[in-house]
Amino acid sequence: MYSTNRKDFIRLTSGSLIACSTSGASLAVVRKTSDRYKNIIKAGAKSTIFIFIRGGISHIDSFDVKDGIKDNPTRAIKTSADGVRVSAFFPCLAQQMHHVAVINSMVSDQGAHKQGQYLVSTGHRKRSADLVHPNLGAWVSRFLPRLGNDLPNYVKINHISSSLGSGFFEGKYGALPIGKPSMGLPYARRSSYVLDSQYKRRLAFLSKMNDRFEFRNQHQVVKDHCDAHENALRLIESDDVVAFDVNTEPMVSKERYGKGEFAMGCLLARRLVEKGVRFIELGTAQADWDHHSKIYNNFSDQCREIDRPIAVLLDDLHQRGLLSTTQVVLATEFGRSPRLNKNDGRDHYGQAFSTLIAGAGVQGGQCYGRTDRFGAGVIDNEVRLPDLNATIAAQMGIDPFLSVDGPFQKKYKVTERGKPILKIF
Amino acid sequence: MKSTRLSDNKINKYVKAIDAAVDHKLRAKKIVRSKPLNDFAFLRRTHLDLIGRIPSLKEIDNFSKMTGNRGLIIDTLINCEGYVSHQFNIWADMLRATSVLNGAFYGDNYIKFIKNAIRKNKPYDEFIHDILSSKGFVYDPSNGGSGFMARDKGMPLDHFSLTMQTFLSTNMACAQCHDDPFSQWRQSDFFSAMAFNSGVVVTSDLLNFPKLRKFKNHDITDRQTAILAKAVFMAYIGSIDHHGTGLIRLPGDYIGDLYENRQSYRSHQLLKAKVPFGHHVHLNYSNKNITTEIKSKDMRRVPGVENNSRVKFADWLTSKSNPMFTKSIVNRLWNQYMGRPLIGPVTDFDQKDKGINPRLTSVLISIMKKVKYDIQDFTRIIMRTRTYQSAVLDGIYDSEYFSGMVLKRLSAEQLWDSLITLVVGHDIDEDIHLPSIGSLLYNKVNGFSSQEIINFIRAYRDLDIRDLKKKLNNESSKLEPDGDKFNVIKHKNGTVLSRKMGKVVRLLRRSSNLPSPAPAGHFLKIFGQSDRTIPDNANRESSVTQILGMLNGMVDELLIIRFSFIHQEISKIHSLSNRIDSLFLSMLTRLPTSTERSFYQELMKDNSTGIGDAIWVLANSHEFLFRS
Repeated sequence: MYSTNRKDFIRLTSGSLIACSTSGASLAVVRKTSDRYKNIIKAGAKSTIFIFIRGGISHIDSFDVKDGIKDNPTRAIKTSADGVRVSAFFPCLAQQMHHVAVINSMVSDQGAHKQGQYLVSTGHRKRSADLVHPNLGAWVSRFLPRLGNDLPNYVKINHISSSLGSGFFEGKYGALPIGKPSMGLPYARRSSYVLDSQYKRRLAFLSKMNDRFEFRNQHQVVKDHCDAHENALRLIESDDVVAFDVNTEPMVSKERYGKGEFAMGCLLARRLVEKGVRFIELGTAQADWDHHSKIYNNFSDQCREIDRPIAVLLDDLHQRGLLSTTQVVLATEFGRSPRLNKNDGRDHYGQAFSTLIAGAGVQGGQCYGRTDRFGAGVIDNEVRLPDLNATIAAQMGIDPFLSVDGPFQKKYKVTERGKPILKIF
Repeated sequence: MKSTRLSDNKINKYVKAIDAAVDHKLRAKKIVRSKPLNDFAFLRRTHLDLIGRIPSLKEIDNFSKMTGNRGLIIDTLINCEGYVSHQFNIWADMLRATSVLNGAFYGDNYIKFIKNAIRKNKPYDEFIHDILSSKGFVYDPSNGGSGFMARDKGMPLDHFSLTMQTFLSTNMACAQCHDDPFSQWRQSDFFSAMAFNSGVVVTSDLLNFPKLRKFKNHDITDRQTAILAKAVFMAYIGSIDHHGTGLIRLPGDYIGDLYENRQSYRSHQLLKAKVPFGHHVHLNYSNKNITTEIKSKDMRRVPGVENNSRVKFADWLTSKSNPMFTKSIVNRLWNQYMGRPLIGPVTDFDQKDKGINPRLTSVLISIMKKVKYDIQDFTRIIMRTRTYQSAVLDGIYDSEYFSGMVLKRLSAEQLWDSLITLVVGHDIDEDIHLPSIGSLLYNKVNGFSSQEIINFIRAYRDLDIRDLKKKLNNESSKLEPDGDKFNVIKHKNGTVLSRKMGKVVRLLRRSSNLPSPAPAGHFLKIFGQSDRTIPDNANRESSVTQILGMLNGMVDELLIIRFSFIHQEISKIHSLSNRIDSLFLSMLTRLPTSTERSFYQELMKDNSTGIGDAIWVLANSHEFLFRS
């Protein structure tokens, strides 16, 4: 936070990172990139829904089930895709696996939550204390054009706290946070106790009042605040803001997603994709996936909470013809140890875990990468978290091989040496 | 009022030393200090920093008589309950004090312990030592510090790594799983250090209570009784046991060995406890010949016998000679009051790092040692410096070398508590302690035999846990409804704002008296309150969500209603110009300029909505939202 004045140094370099779109809704085209990756960068995802399972979901109990192994009572079930099996905890998602590529060969070298989550959301390892990388969503927010409406490019749903992700970019590239999706974006409209004329009058006086402060305090924090203020005023005027209100969704489709904040988050994510929001980070509501002890006490309940909503989300996007331009990613900071610990729990495990990716040209119904028979190590097609982020970025039209200037007179890429995974498309 | 332990002479000596160290750097960098703070700005800043809210009109009146003696104002604020309330928010972020610690325990006892330590001004080293060496029942009122470990039940690695970050600003998190390529920490360093905690457990199962285990497995059939029984068991057995063996085995998935030139280790190898830096800590091992041989049956057993290693570690961590302990807390407090740390982020900096002004860092460290880790004295000293009492720098750049104050948005808690001050007046600082069902049960069943526990559960098996809590609490929640579109109700647990249909919409209590952390969607959450799962996780970033909340609802719903304190107070005043003055003082702690006076006259000339509109504009102004 205290390196904000360095933000002024950030400029685009080496040609342009992303050439601006030609017309409002068309996708960004990249001018300069290596031939090998050209195809993927063109492939074209308009939006990304990045579902983040906070705490580290056990891979061998979810998408990399190992039958007949000691310490793993979890059963695998068949899915809608031949040869792809998931755990019995995900019966609904099993029916949608023909859309999904399972990556079983994830590895992470960050074994603590904070550091692991940092790597997932920024694609960089936290190296030094005073350098904060922007989240992937902030890159999208900064470098991709809005798709013809007033909604921001980057929204975080079930946002708990910590940062809004702008990192060393300006604050305005951070996410719009939604704390409780069932409540949508509270207070997006003028209060009913206030008349329109009165409201305008108030705003006019407020801006007079603020001018003096802004003039005297031209600090980055004030600028960031003013930017948020302007964006808020634009939203109040906009009709698009109704997208945030899941309660305007027809009852039938709302019920399909199920109950709970995570389900409402999935529904909200779909509504925002429809309106052209480009990057949606969707967190697991309050549930804690950090199963250090008695993993099977809550695991099935917690899986149930996310299984159906994600399955419905995929199906809903597909039926609306949005899945071909929307990436849906399910990620977590690390897996969990294949051996149960003495408290019948599983500890953090970065040497092998699983993520899912679907939509926008991803070939569904496949498993990419393999782990050994215990799920303890990757034996085939290792994927690092930055590779996953590079894949998502490239699909959105952000060239993962180009860099921008950042703090400490250095150049920064969207991920730390991440290479897009070509074979899943 | 508690008499100051330090004489004014001593305080002044320390104050001068701090200012001199800052001046020295400023001269070298040819930077001019920003101008000194005027009296009103001083009042606002000290209120926000010490008691976490803006001063009310009446408080400004009272303090105006004391402006000649700023030291006295500081002392007065430090000695009031508002200080406990606000400092708790800050400590709670650092110590991850939550109302529900995890699946097993409630945090009320931990929270009370922290508030008491602040209230009684327990020296910091003693405070942290209590936390790190706590042993015994989690709900024992004299053992509140155990919450720090109980909250990390089942996560010894994370617990240890967070301990190092929180109190020593030493980040060994990467070395939990592998040698850290960005620092000097090896995975073996991490485990050697963690060996001090080896064997210490948060007991939450019935392993040592065969009779209760049998009862649980055979006699409890229905869900309601199961929930009740779990709560009773947790209160009865929940404890921190064992004081450590100082011996640990490397994990089975040990990777290590990034540095080939150093001694290498193997999976499951036995390590003796060793501190990662500072003076050596000697432990007595009963068995002199500790074998490093690994037998598979030993794998899951804690090696060694109890030898108080955890207490020895607490001694080492909190000792004056620990190179990081004092530096870490000094850096925290400096950051808290100056808006920017001396050195890196508060949870992560290098041992050699002395920050952007090494001389200042040394001066502060030596003062902290001389005041014997008395946080209040240290705070007094910082607040009396010219460095603290400087205005925010005009212009684009933040002050790099503490030539002026760093401009910051109010924290979520400061903003909420300030709004509550305006809604219900300044009489809101009193601590409200609500014991959890865990604490209530502990008081009841502590000292019972297993059979008595079984009898207790049988006796209450028909009661829902909430009813039981009510019964134990002997608390009747009486609400006295009132008229109007919104009701403001005085309730013994704090003022409540409710809708007419009876549904409670807001508890108008200070943040320190609300659940910690506030639930999703709460004002505090929207404004960046920490989730308190990792240390210092709050943020002050501005977001659209916050601004919409302020523009379109919260101000109208809280401040511009008939019952709002500020609305009532201003309405009582007759002359328009006095109204404007009082509004500015109540909300911005200053008088309006002549230009402002004239445009507020225009804004407020409409009698029906004028006051409300003016409150709205002031509450939404940048000046209200920022601490300058």
